[in-house]
Amino acid sequence: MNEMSTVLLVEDNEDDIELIRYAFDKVGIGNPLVTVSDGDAAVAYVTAGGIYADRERYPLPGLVLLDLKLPRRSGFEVLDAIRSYAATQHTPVVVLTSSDQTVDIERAYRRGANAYLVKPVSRDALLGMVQTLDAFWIKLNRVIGA
Amino acid sequence: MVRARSILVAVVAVVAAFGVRWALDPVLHDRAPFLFFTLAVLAASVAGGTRVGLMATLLSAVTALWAFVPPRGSAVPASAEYALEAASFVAMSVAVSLLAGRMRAARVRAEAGEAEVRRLNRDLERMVAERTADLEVANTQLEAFAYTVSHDLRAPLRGMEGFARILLDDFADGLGPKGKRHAERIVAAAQRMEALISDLLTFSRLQRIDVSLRAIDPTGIVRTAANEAHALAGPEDAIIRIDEPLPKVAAEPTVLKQVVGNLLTNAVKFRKDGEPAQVRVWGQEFDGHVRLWVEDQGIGIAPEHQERIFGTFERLHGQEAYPGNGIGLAIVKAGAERMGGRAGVESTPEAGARFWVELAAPKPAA
Repeated sequence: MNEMSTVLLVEDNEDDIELIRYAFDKVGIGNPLVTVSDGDAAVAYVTAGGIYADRERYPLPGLVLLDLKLPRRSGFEVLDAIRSYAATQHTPVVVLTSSDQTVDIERAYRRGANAYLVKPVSRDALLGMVQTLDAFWIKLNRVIGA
Repeated sequence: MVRARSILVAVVAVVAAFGVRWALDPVLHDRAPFLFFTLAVLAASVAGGTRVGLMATLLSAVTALWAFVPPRGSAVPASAEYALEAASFVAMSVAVSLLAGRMRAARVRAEAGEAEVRRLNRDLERMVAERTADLEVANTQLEAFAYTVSHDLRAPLRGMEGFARILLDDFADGLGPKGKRHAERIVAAAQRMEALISDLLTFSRLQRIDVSLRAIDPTGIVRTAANEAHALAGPEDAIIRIDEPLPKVAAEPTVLKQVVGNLLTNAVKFRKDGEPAQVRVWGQEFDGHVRLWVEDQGIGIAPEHQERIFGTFERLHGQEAYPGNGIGLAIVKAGAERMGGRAGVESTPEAGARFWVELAAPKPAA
């Protein structure tokens, strides 16, 4: 992944979207951050369906940050769709959710999540998490075809 | 139906006795005219009870008198000797019928009793299964509730904490000192609520998880917990001493960490104003058990509160003096109990408290 790749944030909570944008800003992540706020839109974006057909405007994401509890289609279903779509089957997906339930963690990994992070309540902890996310998933980690 | 079959049994038994006696007639001649008929009476009374037995007795007596007691072809015996034999047969047969009837009645009663016991057992099993199903439903609902608590209650908290912090960091000038203080209160309140949710989840999870015990050396866990408690208080405010080596215990590492961690946090938190916390951890072994002690020189607990503090949401102090949510010791108690042990305290107010967790000593390796 490089500094030009798009990061797709799948998140329905307005506050969380703004806080994550703020954290990206503070940490100084230059990658374009695109937000979709329900499961259907996430699948459409990834598979270039419907209004997201134009790959120039909506480039294939190099990293997906995925909430689990979403309207219309759950994060698990989105994950299934990402993994069964050829162009994104190896795209890193980092689950970013409030749930620290063992069942969710197990389900996420079984369906091919690359990492599982629990959204911290404290803003400082969120900044720390996004910093690590940048250092590892954006700067260090190598992905296929990006 | 049962009656008819019993009568049939009586008739068949008598006919069979007649047949056998008839077949042996060339050998026996006039001797023992009632031989085999006693067996017929016994068979009839066992199968059908006293009344069928008596019927078989009458039938046998008439048949034997007519066919085998001289003069043959007449029901009247030829001599007093034969009359006496007939009378003794009847008397014995009546006795056998009565006795067999009693036995049969007892057996019928016993079978009815067994059937009743079986029915009650089935009912009981059904009831247990129903209750278990109810409990499982309740448990699932509780898990769903815990999930909602962890997921949905935390989301607004992130907003409160996050945006209040952004105000403090990026808009401090506009806020002024008073505004800053208020924003700080929002942050602190959100953090308290987060700690509360997190402790509640820990507590509820403790009730539900499967705890599998194994032999562990608690020293590492106690050290980690001590470092965390130390960090919470600040280096000058806490002196924690661990008497190593600690004896091995049968425990579950995560649960033991929670239990010991909460005891150490409390020991550090409830220190006397202006004095550093002085905490000592040691182990005590006695007949198959191990007690881990956490002793402090803090404010102590009055005897009347020593039982109560292990309940949920029990607090003895205001938020300002000693912040907390009253779940810490409930987690200690539940955790110890889930590991098959218990927890308690000895304390003198103003002189400190000695909390203990008692666990089984691990079984020596064979």
